[in-house]
Amino acid sequence: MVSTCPRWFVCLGVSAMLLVAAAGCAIQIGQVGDARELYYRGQAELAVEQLDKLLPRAGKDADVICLDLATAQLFAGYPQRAEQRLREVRDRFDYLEQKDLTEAALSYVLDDNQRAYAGEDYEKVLIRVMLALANLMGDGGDAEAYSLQVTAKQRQIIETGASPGEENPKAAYQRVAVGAYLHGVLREATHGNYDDAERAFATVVSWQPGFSAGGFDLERVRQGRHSAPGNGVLYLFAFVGRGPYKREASEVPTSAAMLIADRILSTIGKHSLPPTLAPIKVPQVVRSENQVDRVLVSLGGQPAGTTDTVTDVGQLAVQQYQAIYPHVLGRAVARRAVKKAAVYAVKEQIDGLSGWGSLALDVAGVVWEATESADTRCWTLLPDTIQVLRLELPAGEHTLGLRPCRGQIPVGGESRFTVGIEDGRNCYALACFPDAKMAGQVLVSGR
Amino acid sequence: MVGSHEAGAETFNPLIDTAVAQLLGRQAGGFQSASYTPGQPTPAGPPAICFVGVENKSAEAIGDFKDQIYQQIDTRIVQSGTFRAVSRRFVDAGLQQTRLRPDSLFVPANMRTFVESLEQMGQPFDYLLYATITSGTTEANQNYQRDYLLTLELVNIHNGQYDKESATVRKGYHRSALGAVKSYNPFKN
Repeated sequence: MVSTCPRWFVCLGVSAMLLVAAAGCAIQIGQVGDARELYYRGQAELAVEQLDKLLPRAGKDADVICLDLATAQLFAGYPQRAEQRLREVRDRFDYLEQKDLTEAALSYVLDDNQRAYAGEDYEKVLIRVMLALANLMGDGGDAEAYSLQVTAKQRQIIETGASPGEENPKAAYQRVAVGAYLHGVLREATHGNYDDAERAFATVVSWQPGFSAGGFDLERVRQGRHSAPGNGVLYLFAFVGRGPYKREASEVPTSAAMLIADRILSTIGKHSLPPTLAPIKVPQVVRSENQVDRVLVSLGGQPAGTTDTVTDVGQLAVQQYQAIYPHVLGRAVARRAVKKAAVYAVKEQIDGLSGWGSLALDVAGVVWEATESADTRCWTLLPDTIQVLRLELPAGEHTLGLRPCRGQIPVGGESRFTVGIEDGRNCYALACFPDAKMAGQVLVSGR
Repeated sequence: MVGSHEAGAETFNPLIDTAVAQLLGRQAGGFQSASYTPGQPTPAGPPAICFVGVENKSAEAIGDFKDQIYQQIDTRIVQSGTFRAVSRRFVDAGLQQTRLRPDSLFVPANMRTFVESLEQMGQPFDYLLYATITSGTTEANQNYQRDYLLTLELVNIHNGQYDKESATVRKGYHRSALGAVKSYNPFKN
């Protein structure tokens, strides 16, 4: 007779170790959360310092910390450093699109946190948007290339969303219009490529119909001109609100269905299966509650306009995630099935397994299932919306003010900055209002 | 996207070269350049072409390929030896200064304004060159074919004489493997 004790004891031991590992992750997440709070409170520079310290021991969280670090660096006034970091993560995410069989197997034995984080689809696209904006705040030489990559990446993600003959869940993805918008803006600024600008703005209008300024842009590049002689154009981009994030959720109906199924199989089978007592945990993308939804812009103390949403990051993240959610849930159910099958296989291998032995293995199985945690890694410093305001201004120096608002009601103080407008040229400014307080500083191109 | 299936830079470039060579070849003889006035000695140097740009009127966005087409045409003008090209930087500066759209330069008053602007920059020219890409699509079952037409239009700004040359590129799109096999032609470039 084979002794059963060491086997299930080992199972329990492994389970206990996994619980300890999960607790260790929570400490790390807490520290990252502190850095994010600093950013939300307007202290982008301190957030950079804290994230920089965390990065060397981030392990498989390194890329998401890198993304948050790049965002903080950008608004702390270091666009070149931010661009460098973003380029690295973009390339790594592209590399991780290929499958790693070892990681995939490990994710079925433990959970999805064992995989290197390859980014959600919306993050892969928005990295390129951030690259374009970071580059615009530097020399701007690569901004057009990045803007083209935004649209190209979306196309690639959707085209490769399913095998031939299968229904493609990504075909319904809401698109990121800000890439096309940037392309249109840059092409119009050449004064010689109004046809490209028209095509780009037409794309923006079709992808983000609520963006009211898009219609004016389209009309201008069809019939008009970049600006009147003696004038230049300021594009103010604003990151408004706290962006979407992932949280762990229990799939109660699926867990209940699985419990019934494993009870049925336990009744009719040779051995019992571990009952699905621990709920199946899945990540869910949710929008943040925001107190800011636009930015009021003033020029020389007079209202000059409010920013308008060109890309609703929160909405598209939730919509894109819902499109692939059945696959996320399917993987979680498959993981449970693999674990139950493993326990069943162990029972099959043990001759003369006693009732207590079987119970011990079931308990070990339940513990094993309970150690799972949903993969909630994500780029948390994304904004809720990317907004823009175009202002045609006479050439020369201008002082502008930015005030975060909810509806028409200001919710924070005014932040002032100065821009130099050149005749016939574009100038770009970028600000971030995750809350009532601006994160970091207003960035202006060419400085 | 141009280049995604059958036609890309490898196909486009020889066609551009041929079209530019034929167009310039026809204009090469018997031309008096920009600053020529009767009774005065003929100024040294080849006549100058101001290449305004490439307009994409096709069904597809061609992205960065458009700038490649521009550079290819511009390079061929420079290499022709019989014509001088105005640098793109001056062309862009002229458009920026006058706020004229490229498609409006063929209106006589606009053309005069643009010519004056470039003359002020020390870049007189004799010809305006404008390129357009158009497309036509035909479908058959699961496959469709798109023809791209690159048209070069050259206008002599002194006498308004006009010449043009075109080059066609055909792209076949196969939505099924069978379509690709049916359309396979080993002798096609």
